[in-house]
Amino acid sequence: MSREMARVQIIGLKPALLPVIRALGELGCVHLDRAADAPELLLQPLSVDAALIRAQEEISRHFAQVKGLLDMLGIARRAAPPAGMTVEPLDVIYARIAELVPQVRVLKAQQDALRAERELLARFEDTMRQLLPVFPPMARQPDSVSFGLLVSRSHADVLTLIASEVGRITQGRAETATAAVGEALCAMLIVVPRAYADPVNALLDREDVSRLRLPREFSTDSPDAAIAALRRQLNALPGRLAQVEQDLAALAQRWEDRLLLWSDRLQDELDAYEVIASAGETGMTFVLLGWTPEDEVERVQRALYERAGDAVEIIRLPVTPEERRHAPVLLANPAPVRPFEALVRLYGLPGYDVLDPSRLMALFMPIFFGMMLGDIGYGALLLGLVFLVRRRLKPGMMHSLTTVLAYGAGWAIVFGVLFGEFFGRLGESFGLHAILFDRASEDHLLDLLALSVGVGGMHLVLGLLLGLWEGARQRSRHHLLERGGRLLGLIALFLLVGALVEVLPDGLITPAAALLVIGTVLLGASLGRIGVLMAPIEMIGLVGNVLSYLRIAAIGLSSVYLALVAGEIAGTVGSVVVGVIIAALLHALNLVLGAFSPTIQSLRLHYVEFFRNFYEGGGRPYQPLAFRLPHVHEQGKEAS
Amino acid sequence: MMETGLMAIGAGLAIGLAALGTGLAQSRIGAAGAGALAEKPDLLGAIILLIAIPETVVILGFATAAMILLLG
Repeated sequence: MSREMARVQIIGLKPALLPVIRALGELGCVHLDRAADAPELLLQPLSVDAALIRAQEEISRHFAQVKGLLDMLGIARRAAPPAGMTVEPLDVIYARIAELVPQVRVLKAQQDALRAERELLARFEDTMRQLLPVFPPMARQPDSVSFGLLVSRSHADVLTLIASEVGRITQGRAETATAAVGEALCAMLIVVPRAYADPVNALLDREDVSRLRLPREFSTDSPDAAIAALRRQLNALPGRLAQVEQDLAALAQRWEDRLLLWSDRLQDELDAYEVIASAGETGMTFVLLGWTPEDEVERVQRALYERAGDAVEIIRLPVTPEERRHAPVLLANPAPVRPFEALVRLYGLPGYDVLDPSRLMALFMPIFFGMMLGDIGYGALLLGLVFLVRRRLKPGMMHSLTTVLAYGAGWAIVFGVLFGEFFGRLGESFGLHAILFDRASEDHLLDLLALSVGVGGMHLVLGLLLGLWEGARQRSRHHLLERGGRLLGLIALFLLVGALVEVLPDGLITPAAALLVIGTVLLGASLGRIGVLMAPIEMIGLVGNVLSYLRIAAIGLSSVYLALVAGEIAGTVGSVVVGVIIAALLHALNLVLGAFSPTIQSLRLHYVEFFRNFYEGGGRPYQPLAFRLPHVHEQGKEAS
Repeated sequence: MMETGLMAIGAGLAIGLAALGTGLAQSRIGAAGAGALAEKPDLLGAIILLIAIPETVVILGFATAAMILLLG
């Protein structure tokens, strides 16, 4: 169920706007709407002056810098702010950011340059080593100049053309050597007397061929000396890189908590400024409009009075039925039901003032799960595994799912006792017998099907009764006719089947047929003109809804037969050890399927079969203005 | 004996063909759903629903197979 909400209007003198917004952010319990959207209040949006816009831009810019620093220093965000710290005033934060940004940028630039150099030099060294065996002797003479060219293998013929052109320019005094570099490239070294260096250089520039340019510090040496120098440089690089990375890590360690704190502080400040856009105004006053839980109104009143005194007033507004329908929704269920709220949200958040199905889901979903898995051994094993895993999980969807699985595993143990199953029929060896019936026996297949359909029928009837109640509360003729018609049709269906299989007296056939007709007419009436055509189809669909619950039997049977197969195969293998291993593997597979499949199928039975009879999502989530650092106060200011 | 064999084949066809149909439908819905999820992760609930809908076909196949075996 959702908490009762009060619609509140906060009016204050304009200078008190930011202190009031900050107080609301610290309270974290007021969901704000756009005041100008409330037609009855006739407000215009608050006009924002240039100073306010500048302040917001300043915060925004510094927030972006802090995010950049966090990224550059590799600091991960945390769910909770650093504990026990006080935060500096904004101007101090800005000054410290201004000091820190250049330090980190310089180190990052050094790190990037060293990494690029390491990559570049390694590539040069590799190419030079490929060329070294074919180096012309002339390349080692002091009055010679070398040019390196790199082309892809598919354009290797270009090198021949260039070599002939260089030969023409130097009148045959050039020497060339070609070698493959890697799988895709081809390199050529051209050595010419120093006197021809300029015309050859001009030719190569004109032809726009990729040049193998050694970094300047190596280019004047002879090829052997250049390779030796490259190697020395490459050997020195890891040490220099490690030093820079160590400096960055030291900065990260020193500033981590503070940067995270600043990030939260600036984000809070930005949130506060964004709220200004939702405010309305009259001549001298601002107006904020929102929702807060009914039992929080007094606390909000007290906090605002403490912060702004008589400059602000909070008024509880009357709520029209239309506004009530659109009130934000804050679900408030007991702790055992809360994990199921996440599953209900997956379908759609309940609207305000409509039935929240979380409690019903918390009751029925684990029962359906237990009916499908229905084995003491699997249930106990799953329960153990769930408790092992959930300790390591943070609160969230996965944590909620493990709780749902734990409930389901508990019910699996209960149904395991009723069906007499412990890893299939292993329990028979120590005297375990079915209390209800043996699912695996073909004599009881009909019982299992009847149990599934019976439970499904009751589930659907409950859903339709809730739907009728909701329809009556909302005074919706359409819902009353539709759900009433379906309910009558469902009852008629059960009576007819009961009479036909001679469980119920024959005399019920006529009243049941009459009920079916009445139900179809009601359903048709709810659908309007197309009802004549659609109502019988919908009634057939209702049969499909009931039969859909047969999946409880189907999944249950597949689980129990896989467990039996595991036992049988293990028994037929000669070696005890191999038999135990095979059985363990098959049981493990069954356990995985047993955890996954019943969850999905139970979820489907609720979403498709159960919810459609009474539940509509579409609720508006309650999202109060809530600061990340509500209790961390600025240094030098008194804690409130 | 012949009759039992035919019943078994009938039951197998009832559930097998229904499962094939469900699988085909789910593969298409699943592929489209995965695409939609990549764009809009909050559609997860609706997509689970859409993927689960064709499963009724195989459950009806199971019901038919069970009826063939039990009532035959």
